[in-house]
Amino acid sequence: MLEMEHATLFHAHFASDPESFGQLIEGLTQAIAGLHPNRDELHNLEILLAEILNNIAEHAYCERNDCPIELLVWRTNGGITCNVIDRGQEMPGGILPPAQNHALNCDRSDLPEGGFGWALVRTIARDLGYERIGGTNVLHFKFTISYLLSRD
Amino acid sequence: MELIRQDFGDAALITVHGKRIDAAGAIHFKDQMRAHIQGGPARIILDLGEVEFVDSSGLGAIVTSMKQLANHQVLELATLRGAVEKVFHLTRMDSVFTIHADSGAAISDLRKTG
Repeated sequence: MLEMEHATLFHAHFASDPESFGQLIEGLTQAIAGLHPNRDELHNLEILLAEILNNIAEHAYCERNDCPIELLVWRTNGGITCNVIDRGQEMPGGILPPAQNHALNCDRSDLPEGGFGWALVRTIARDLGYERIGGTNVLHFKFTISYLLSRD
Repeated sequence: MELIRQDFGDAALITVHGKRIDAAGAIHFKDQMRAHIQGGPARIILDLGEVEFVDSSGLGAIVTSMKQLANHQVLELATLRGAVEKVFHLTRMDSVFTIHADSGAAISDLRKTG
């Protein structure tokens, strides 16, 4: 799963406090600036990481804001590979939640008010995977940076 | 985050003053929207021009607001930027709302109808 042939770009240990996630994502954005992600890709990466980190804070850690999260980012072919590690509760059933494909051509009263998070994660991330290793949750995915595709 | 409302006849323009509608602010947003919607005019336009980021909780809060409308009311959106526009597009919620490209157009439209 891990591709170690390239150097680590970003490695952070931080607390499961949603108020701090914006700053963390900003730090990652700066760390990968040299890979020339375009604006569209930066928006996608921000959306993706915000949903993953919020999910850890809300579900794995049951809204406790002082538990450890680790984010590791490597440069890999055509983009980056990210590992997000926490020590909270296992994913239900030990697997990634499915994307819920809501029918949106319904009455206003039947529109979904939630369940968008995993749909966003599954749409944006490539090669998304999850493993329970010891007492930790390891979520890993790849993210394409178009500038690198033609150069790697 | 503050929501400021301007009335134009049978329509209202609600401007969100704040950079994020996310898990931390979703309940506050919903409470403010409910206050504006109840007994409010038929058309309600939500201007998101100042908002830089909406996560899945924020998106859910906007949908909740839409579901709190009375039968004769509609909720439209204006000025979706960057990552906000992306979230609506990726979840296909841009097919559910009428979206105005900018609040100026929405307002002149309001003045015509209002």
